[in-house]
Amino acid sequence: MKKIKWWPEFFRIVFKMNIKATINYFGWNVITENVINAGVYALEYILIWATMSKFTSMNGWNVYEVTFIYSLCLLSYALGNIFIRPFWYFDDLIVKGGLDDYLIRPVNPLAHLLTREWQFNYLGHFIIGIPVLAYVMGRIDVFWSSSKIFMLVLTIIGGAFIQAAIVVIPSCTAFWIVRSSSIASMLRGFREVINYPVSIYPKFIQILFTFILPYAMVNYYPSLTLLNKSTDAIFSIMPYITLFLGVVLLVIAYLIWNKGLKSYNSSGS
Amino acid sequence: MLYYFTLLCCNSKKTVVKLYTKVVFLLQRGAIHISIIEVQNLSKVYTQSVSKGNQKGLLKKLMSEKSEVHAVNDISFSIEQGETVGYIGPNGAGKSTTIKMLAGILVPTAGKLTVDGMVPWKDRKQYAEKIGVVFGQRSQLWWDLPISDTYNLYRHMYKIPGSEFNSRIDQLKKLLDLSEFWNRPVRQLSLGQRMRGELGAALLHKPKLLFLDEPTIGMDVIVKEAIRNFIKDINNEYGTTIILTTHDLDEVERTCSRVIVINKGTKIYDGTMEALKSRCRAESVLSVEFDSNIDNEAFAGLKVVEKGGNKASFAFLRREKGAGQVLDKLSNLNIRDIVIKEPPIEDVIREFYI
Amino acid sequence: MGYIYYFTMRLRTVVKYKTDTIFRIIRALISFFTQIYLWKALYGSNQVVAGVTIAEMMTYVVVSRFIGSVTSIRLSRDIEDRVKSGEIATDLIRPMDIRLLFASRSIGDSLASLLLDGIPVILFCIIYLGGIMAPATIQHFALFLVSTVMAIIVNISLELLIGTMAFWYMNAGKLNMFVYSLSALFSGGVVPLWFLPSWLGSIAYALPLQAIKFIPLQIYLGRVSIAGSIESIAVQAAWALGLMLIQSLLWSKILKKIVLFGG
Repeated sequence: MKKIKWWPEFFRIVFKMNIKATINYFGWNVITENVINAGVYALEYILIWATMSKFTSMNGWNVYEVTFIYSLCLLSYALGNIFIRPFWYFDDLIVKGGLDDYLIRPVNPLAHLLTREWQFNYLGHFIIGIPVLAYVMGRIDVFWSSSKIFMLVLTIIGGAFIQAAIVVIPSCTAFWIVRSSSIASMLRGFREVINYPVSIYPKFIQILFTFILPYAMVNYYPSLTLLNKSTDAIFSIMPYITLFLGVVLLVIAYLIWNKGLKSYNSSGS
Repeated sequence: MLYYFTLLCCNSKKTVVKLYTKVVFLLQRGAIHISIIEVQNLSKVYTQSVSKGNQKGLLKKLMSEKSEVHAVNDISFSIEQGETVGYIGPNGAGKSTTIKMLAGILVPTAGKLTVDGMVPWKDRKQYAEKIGVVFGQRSQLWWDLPISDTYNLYRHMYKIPGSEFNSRIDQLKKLLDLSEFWNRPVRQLSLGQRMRGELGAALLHKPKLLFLDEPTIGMDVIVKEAIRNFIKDINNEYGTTIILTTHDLDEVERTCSRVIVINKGTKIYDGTMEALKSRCRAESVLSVEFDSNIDNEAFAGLKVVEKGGNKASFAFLRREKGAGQVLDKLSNLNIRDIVIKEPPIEDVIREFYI
Repeated sequence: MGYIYYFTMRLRTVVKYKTDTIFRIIRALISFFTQIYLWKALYGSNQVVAGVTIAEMMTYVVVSRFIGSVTSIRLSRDIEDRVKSGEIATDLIRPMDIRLLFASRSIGDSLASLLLDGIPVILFCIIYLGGIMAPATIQHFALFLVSTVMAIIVNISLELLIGTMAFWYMNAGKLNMFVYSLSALFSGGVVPLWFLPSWLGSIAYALPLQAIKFIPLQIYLGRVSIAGSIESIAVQAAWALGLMLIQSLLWSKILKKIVLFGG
């Protein structure tokens, strides 16, 4: 019975430690960090708006709808990456033996690894992303019923899961291949593609980003549902599929992690 | 289980308790020896792909030869509770590999390994509660926080009850002198302070064993000495079994009663430090700083390896004379300071192949 | 000759890490695709919008990529990193002007970048698009090349300036990331300044960023006369000088500080 109470307390302790560590590391600059982040994305929004100012639409998506899509990507990116920073340099962790530190504790090593380096400076992404999202939602010709809002939330959460998996799964290849961080950062960079609706790209890119690297499931397809952009039945439940896919990908990530750990146990670094 | 067995043999609980107290008493006095680590024919073999040329990825796999690396080759030893053992060898000898197997991180390819009745890599989580591990080359403490915060996290991780935790902290603060930097972030600490913090963290949950992997690497002589003393204090105070890996004999010199020397994966010596020194034909070096410049004639009968101004270094063989005898020859000179350097482990090992 | 060492520094590391170059090429291609299809989608069935044809836009994207590959933004990040880690101290005690040091490295960077990933990507783009518009006239092309060189100088001055500011904001996060986003908007690299709403456009013309991408691009496409081109190049030179002046001012202040505190 004590086991169940252990985890919330663990989370509480780690949460406080991360806040304290963030403040100690950044000092007062913790505010500047978030402001800079917010500023960077504010500029991105201005860029979208400026790009489209002389045009009416992009493949049938007006500037508010494009901003909507962009915001979904941004928010799910921020949410998905707050807790998984160690995976950004996972190959370094293995090579320098840092992973061993997590294997000598009476705690699940993955859970322990995920307690480190929470990116509280990603709050800046939310500070700019949420107001903008709310604003464009008001400008789009859609009625935001409670079920729509619910689906929107599911989309962001599912998108966060997908974005996290896209970071974790390639990083875990570090168990077998050296220098996986370049592959991982390249895949992170592909996020650029979904900043706009994928329908503007040729078919092969659309297929690539739907079935192989499912970035489009983060924002494009759910938006077809949320913005009533399609009458096909399948597109009416996209947010649920996104969430489902996110969960599936995280499960796969977990399985790969376990396999990798086993391999590490027999071959070291 | 042992409890019920003894209960069968004795009439009352009281007798059992008395019996146990006597056993513990004898254990602490070293009258009874219980081995806590049993290693038999331990081996760890890696298969490495040696790539031809500079290809990456697929090409590398296709065009490579498999080579076997015997990191650890048929090693056996047993270590008793309360011992402090130095595990020495040159770089790449297999020290880290052995420690990793002892810690439960690596699975051996062959052989048996039991620590306190458990097999380290099975039930790893349970086993982790019995051991403490400190790596000299990196810190496990949270970098931007004072050690008190990491200690608190470990309190929860190892499920240490509050009152026990507090008294433990007080003990460790006294033993390792932690109060002076208790509230400073680890980032701001010196190497020596950090190591003390790490040692404390490893001891919070009262582990039976402590594994130290090159704990004084990168430290200057004075700090090394301080850490060595702390390690000795830990062993004296808590009776923790300590295994220390290093490639530096100085580190092991006064901390460890027993030394296991390993080279290229094989054990080549297992015994006391004194016996090792007396076997050794590699020379130790005594460096002396005098009050004033000394002429060469004063050094007759001694092997001088370096001389300059008021400083001189002499080489001597431990098996022939101790450092004290060297000093005797210089007794009529005014000595300001001395340093003794043991031979590098590579030289010591060479002895075993001659 | 120390400068030559820094100049070839990038070339040597690139040869060592072939995979990095491949990844950089892939990233550049993705970026290229994103932009091409963005404009195609925006134009839709229109041939001309706001006086700019779609053919011009395609050319714009490719030439922009060319300029982008020779104006590296690593310089400020490098300085920032070295200040944070303290390695900057070793740079400062060298008997060479640290700014020229970083500048040589940046130029070497640009050339290596151009050779290894810039040109392959650009060739691919041109083939994929089935050709791009040639420069308006030969004179325009010549002026375009001059303007590109000026752009590199302006870029280096700007990067040095931002890097120097790192001395002041020691622990400040990614100031250079912010400037990067700023330049994405105002340099004309992504959106030609003709398309910007007027008030945004006027801000852009007041900033040095447009001297890095937009001015050379304009010249290439012949959207300014010869006289206008020369004028623009003069503007670039003015910006380069101005930035270097500010940087030198800050720099002397910092050097004084360092001497006072003994590093």
